[in-house]
Amino acid sequence: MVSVVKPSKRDKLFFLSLLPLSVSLLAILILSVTTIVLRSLDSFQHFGFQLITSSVWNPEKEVYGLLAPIIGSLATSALAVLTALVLSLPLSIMIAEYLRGFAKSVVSSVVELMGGMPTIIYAVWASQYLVPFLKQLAMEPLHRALPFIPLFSCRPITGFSIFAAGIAIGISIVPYVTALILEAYQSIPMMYREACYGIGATKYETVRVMISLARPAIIAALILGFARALGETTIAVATVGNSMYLSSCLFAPGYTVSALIASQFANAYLYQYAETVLYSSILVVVVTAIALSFYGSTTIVRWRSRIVV
Amino acid sequence: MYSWRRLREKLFTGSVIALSLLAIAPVLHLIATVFVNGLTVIAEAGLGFFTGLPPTPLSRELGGIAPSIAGTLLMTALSLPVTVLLGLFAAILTTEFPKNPLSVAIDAVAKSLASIPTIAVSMIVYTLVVIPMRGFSALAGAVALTIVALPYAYTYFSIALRSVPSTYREAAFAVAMSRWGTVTRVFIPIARRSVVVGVLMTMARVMGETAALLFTAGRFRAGVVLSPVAPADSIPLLIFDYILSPYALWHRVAWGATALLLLAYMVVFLATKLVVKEVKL
Amino acid sequence: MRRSAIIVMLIAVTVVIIATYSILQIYGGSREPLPSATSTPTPTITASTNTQLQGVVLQGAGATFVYPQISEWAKRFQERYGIQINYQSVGSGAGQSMFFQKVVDFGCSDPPLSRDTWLKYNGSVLQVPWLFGPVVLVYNIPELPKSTALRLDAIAIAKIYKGEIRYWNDEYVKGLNPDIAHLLPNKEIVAVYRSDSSGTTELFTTFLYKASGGVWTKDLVGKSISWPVEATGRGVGGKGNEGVTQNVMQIPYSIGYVEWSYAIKNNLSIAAIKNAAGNFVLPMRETLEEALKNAKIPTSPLDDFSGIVDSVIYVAGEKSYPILGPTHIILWRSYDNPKKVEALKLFLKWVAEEGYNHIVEGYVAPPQSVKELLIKAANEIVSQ
Repeated sequence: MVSVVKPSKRDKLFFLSLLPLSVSLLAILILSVTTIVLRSLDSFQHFGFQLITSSVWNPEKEVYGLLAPIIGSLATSALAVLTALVLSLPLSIMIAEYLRGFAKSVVSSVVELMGGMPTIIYAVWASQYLVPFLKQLAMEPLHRALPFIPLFSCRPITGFSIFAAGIAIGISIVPYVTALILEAYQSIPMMYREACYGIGATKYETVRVMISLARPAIIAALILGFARALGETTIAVATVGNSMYLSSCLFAPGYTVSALIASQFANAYLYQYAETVLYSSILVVVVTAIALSFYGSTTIVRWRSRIVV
Repeated sequence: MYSWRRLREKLFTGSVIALSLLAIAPVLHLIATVFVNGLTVIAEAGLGFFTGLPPTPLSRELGGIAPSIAGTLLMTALSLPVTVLLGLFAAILTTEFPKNPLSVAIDAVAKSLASIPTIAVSMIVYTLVVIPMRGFSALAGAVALTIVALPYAYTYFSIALRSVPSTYREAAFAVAMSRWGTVTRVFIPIARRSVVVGVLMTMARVMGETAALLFTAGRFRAGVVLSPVAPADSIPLLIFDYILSPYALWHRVAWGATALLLLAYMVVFLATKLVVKEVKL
Repeated sequence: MRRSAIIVMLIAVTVVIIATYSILQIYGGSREPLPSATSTPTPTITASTNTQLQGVVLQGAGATFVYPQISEWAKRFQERYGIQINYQSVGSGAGQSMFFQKVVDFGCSDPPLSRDTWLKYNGSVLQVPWLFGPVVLVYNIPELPKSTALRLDAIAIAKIYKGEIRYWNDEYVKGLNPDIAHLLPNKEIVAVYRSDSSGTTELFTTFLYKASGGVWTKDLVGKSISWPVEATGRGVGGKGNEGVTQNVMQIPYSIGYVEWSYAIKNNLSIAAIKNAAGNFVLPMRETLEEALKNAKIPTSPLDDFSGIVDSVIYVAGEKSYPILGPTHIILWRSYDNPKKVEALKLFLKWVAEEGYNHIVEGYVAPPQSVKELLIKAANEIVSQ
């Protein structure tokens, strides 16, 4: 349906009338990214690569190293995605294959409810209930049983750690990832499922086939979830422990970039380079998140066009 | 069927059920604890919870969160219309001119904007609005909220508009309707339920946002002030500050506020469910 | 076409109106709020001659130390004059930061402006050390009875925060506490410190530097430092005095430094610290007043206060408590808004005359010279 005729004057007017308000979206993004880039230039010029090879926050002496928060953000997001995978996939299968009617709409609604929940509520619940729970039932037993694995080698002191933050953020992105996986699952043409049942496959075997068909979309969903987890602030501040300590142990307190900014931005003006260093840390996160989101959504779009027979 | 195949089937069903329950359990526990902890606080503070000022850390009574409620309402009222307007117009543009490079750009940009951590939005608005304005304000908070909510509003509205089959557009052109007429008199009325859902979900997002307000709104808790250029507080911000403090009294106020926020969110969510029946072709 | 054009024009006009209103508000200079739409349920305001000041709001930000006292003062001041004071307890560093960026009217910082900063703004800022309070060491050792206080000296504390003393039953600590040495458990010490830029940290580290005879070095003094113990994984950061208090309360075998009022209100165990005369003292009115006796307080709010910290920490005196610190209010000499100027002058005078009769537990009223400083500062502020 490509328009071969030149757009009429009315069409042009219509387009122009929409222009100012809709271009604002573009303008906001450009303004935001420009601000971030401009404000972080100073720190790159002054510190160069040193910024990401050490972990230190000493504004009085103007020594900064962002390795801990950056690795912390990546680690918590990775853990979050792992949690989301373990929880979302079965949940999606449950909703798509096992539930009908009233039960299905109730469970779907609960998932939607989880999805829009203000993250501060998750943060409060996680810091008061989830962290002590994880400390007692997951971290301490793991530390006692498997201390030789570097991931579990330190004793959990407060429970606030990369591990706790990862799991808490993971729980909060479950609805988002579930929605993506469900959408992908439900766009697989019926004929595959019919074919499976037609040859006498069990539900398990059918689901296996469907999942393998949907695999690119599921991976894309996880990548999008990772991007979402990277930007999470409130939950991270409440559960990660706020320490520049970098170690391979998951149970030690750490930092994420968002938590670092939440703790340090307010005093940044007092010191010469603190503000620009914080901006450069957020630049790293923003660029990564945008790149991952792009990759994830284009993968899903491409997959969708291939899957329709 | 071989017995191990049957066993595998049973194991699979069992683990799917178990893991699904595990996925839902946290949110159910969360709702339960928030209501148990929070509603007892609200009951104890009575109506004063909604009209009183927050207590000093060493006082004896629970006080209230009136400034935060007022601030949340004010900032939502300031940012929601702007967000809806901008999101709607952008959605109309991309639905009506899908092949235009500008539309493609806007689509891509909306997704990118959603990837910016909300704390970065707070930093940017602090630099661009709070410092020149020489003070924190509800306006700065509303600007930050708009930036955060825009991509979601745009996505909801574009899904809503796109769900209307294009046969309607062709029918409207066939009776010589103008393009604006098509949008306002055909598409939006058909998609109106989804549009309303979009507005409600945007409102829920704006109400519950914390990080974007950290450096912009100003934490004003000394009284109820309804001016956009004065500092303001919001319910999530209060919860954030109070739950990180050591005072037992403030913890209780935070729980009460959390319960209130959760209640408000659930009301909005239920509203979307009641509105949602769409027109299907 | 007619109808949609009208709609578009209406929308455009609305947007323009909103934009104009906002721009006028922003650059019109007036930052006062409209009269409250709902009345706040405070007791009715007693008759005052300053009715035109009602509804003025003063914005402050800074040290978490002084927050409980300020909230008490703000409440009484509002009851008396109807002027609201909103204080954000974000830490001395953030407070100074926001003050210099002019997003708040006054800042509160435990340490005074550093000499360099003071030189930069010489003549345009005023400081008054309007409160004094001790920094105390709190600990959470379940085995120790509440009746006996743990004794520590600067060397022990320095080594703990450097990660060199690892267990509570370390020989050095046992040596300082012969009576309860057998009760000290063989558990690792968790050191809690401030994760934000804090005046309390500056006071605490100044003490360690002065009193530990070289164990704690000068480069480890400041509002926000890199704690050596953090690298051992036995350190925990807390945000604000509030965060440190909460951490010590919740983590067994931890130690932390907080302002006295936080320790009292949350019932934490306080350690007795060895002072310059060799005695182990607990924070008490007598021990604090003794330390205050030699405070070097400048005579004008325009002066450089950077020497004051040195003159109250680890000073001579049999009974003096070694970690006492001031907290300062920092103001501009001139403001654009005349109503704000009036309100600020009123507030300072009120604190000097009335506020000091309502000192919250955990703080020490400053000497008479400070009251005079407050009045002097009140007189210095002018509107531009």
